[in-house]
Amino acid sequence: MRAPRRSDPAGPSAPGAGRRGGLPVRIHIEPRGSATRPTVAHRILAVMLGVGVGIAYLALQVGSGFFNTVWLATFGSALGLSQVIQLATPLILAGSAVAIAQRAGLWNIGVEGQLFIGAWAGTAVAFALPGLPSGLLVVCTLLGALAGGAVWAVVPALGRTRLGVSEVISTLMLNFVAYLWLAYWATGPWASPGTGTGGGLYSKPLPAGVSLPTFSVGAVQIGVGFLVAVAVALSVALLFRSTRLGVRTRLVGAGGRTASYAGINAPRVQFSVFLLSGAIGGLVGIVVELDHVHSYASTISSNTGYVGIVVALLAAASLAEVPITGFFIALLVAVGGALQIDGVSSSVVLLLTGVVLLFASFSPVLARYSIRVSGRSGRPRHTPADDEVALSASDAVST
Amino acid sequence: MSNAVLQASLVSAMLAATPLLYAALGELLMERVGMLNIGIEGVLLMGAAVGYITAIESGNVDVGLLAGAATGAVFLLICYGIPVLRLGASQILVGFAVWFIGTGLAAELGIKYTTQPLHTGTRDIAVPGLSDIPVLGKVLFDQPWPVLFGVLLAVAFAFLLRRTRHGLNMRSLGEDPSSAFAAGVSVIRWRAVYVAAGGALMGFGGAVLSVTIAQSWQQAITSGRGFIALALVILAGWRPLGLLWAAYLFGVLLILGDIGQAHGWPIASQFLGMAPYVLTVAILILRTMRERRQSGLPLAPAALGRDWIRSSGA
Repeated sequence: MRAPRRSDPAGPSAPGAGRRGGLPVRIHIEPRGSATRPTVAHRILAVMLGVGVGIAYLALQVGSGFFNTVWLATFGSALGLSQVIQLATPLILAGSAVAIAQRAGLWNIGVEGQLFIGAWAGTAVAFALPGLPSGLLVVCTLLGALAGGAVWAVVPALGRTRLGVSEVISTLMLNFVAYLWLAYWATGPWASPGTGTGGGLYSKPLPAGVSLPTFSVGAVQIGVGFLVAVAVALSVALLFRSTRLGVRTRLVGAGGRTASYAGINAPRVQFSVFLLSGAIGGLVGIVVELDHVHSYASTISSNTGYVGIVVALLAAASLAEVPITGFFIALLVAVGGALQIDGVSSSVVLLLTGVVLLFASFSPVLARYSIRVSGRSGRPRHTPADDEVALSASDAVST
Repeated sequence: MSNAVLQASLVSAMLAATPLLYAALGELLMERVGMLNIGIEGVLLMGAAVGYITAIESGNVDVGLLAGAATGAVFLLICYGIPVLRLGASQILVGFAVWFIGTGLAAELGIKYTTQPLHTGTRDIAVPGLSDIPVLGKVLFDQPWPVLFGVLLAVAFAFLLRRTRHGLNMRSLGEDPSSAFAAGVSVIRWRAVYVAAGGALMGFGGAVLSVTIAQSWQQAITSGRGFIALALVILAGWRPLGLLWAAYLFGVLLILGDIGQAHGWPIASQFLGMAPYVLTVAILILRTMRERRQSGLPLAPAALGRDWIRSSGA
């Protein structure tokens, strides 16, 4: 008897939810016969299941006061909301960087490195040109960071597009090199005089005035960096929607022979997209540095490049969704941060995002079922006619 | 370099290479049956954390190492095996999830143990006779037992894959699972078995890192070794014996920073620390260039990373 499939996330919980008395609506989750791509509803359901598991884990670990802490760290206080916006800024940029690479069928796991190298290049510009008016210097710093991130992506991009070397491995390896580069500069040439090394690596502070301002809406603080991040995310979304590069990238990313039939030089398109991805990756760190860190420091990233992968994956490579998923993940990061005083490790964010990602990867499975919400008593419960139908549906989705 | 210093360096290089060897052997087994797991790092960390905690709490190092292996197997089966094999989730996406969950969960579990050092060493095995060979005797035959055991496992897996009927079936799972299925090999079951076996090897490797080598636990203890292992499998051409030289080469690179510091080389330790990562990229590029020029080099299993579901028209 195969009908009640044990490990389907939708299986055990969903029909029960539809039958429970007292609920004003009924949720019908039924298998569908045909192959379908996951809809937004499926993706949201999958993510919410993941968040539910993560929150349950944290709530059990922290105990009383958990929901109060969560509320104050997010929407419940101006400070919390300001913090979430500050955390969302680099995540939106990192998510955009990963998502545009994905558009061209590439994995940019190297944002964590690009952000340290971009910030290094930007910081070098700031130290090298102290005579400039500060507004101009900030612009030059940002441009330096873009260039630094792009340069850091050149080797993996060439390796992938010219030779077929896995960019997953090459970009990731370079992250460790970039971190050691930071360690060298922050303790060597740019070491801050007279301070200890408590709490990570710090260089001497940036020249005065080299920073991105913050403004307030009511009691909520919003950094200009946040606006920069959203603007970057939306302009790349526009770029990929309506330009030649965008169309070509879509064809290349679709895989198969479509691109070559259309006469597109796929490696060249991938190379350009990879460099653009690296350039945006280069912005991630410098924006944080100019916003509130004010020195070339290890704290400009807390696994931001890696968490950015999840931001991009949740957006399913739809670039315009990245600010939303970035903000959403920032909520989780804020919760994780607030719980550290309760003895939760600083890496708990990776655990939470990992669980969310795991469940998000189930959305093709959920897509085997249709989700309907109705106010009246619904149809009788469906039993899956046959595994074969469901399996062929998932097969069509996954290949 | 004097003989004694050379010997000491080689001894620690061999030891440093051992977690890499286990992790890469686990990944190799999985890849040969068609399962690509990019989340090795997460499994290593889970094995390292649970292995270390168990070693501290039980007071028995060997129990700790075995707990690391068991953790790796269970963790990878739950977070990777079931989603990929039963639920049709993408191997790449789930691989990321394994990496993230493993990293976060290991940090959570180990948080109280970062300040607790382990005072017992792992038992050495001195092979009678062989351990008296100058230099090499101490490097190969007078080391904590996981070192020699890793070498033996690599040889055993080479034999299994090349010379046995089951090895042939394994390879067919990685090259063409539909044909294997048609020939009566249970694709899902054997893939699940090798997910567990691969997870056990990775977890054991992680435990060797924390329990045997570092004798302490910290969040970032693996520092990318899981990804180096992923590259080693490619460098070794998916052959277990190829992994031996690849892993030991990287063992030398991993301790380069320590050697440099001990000898007062006039170069910042950070640059020496970059060596394993830079060389991984460089060697991958060189190997791919060679692969383009000569056709005889072994390639990845044809069905690596592809989902296989029973109704897909076998």
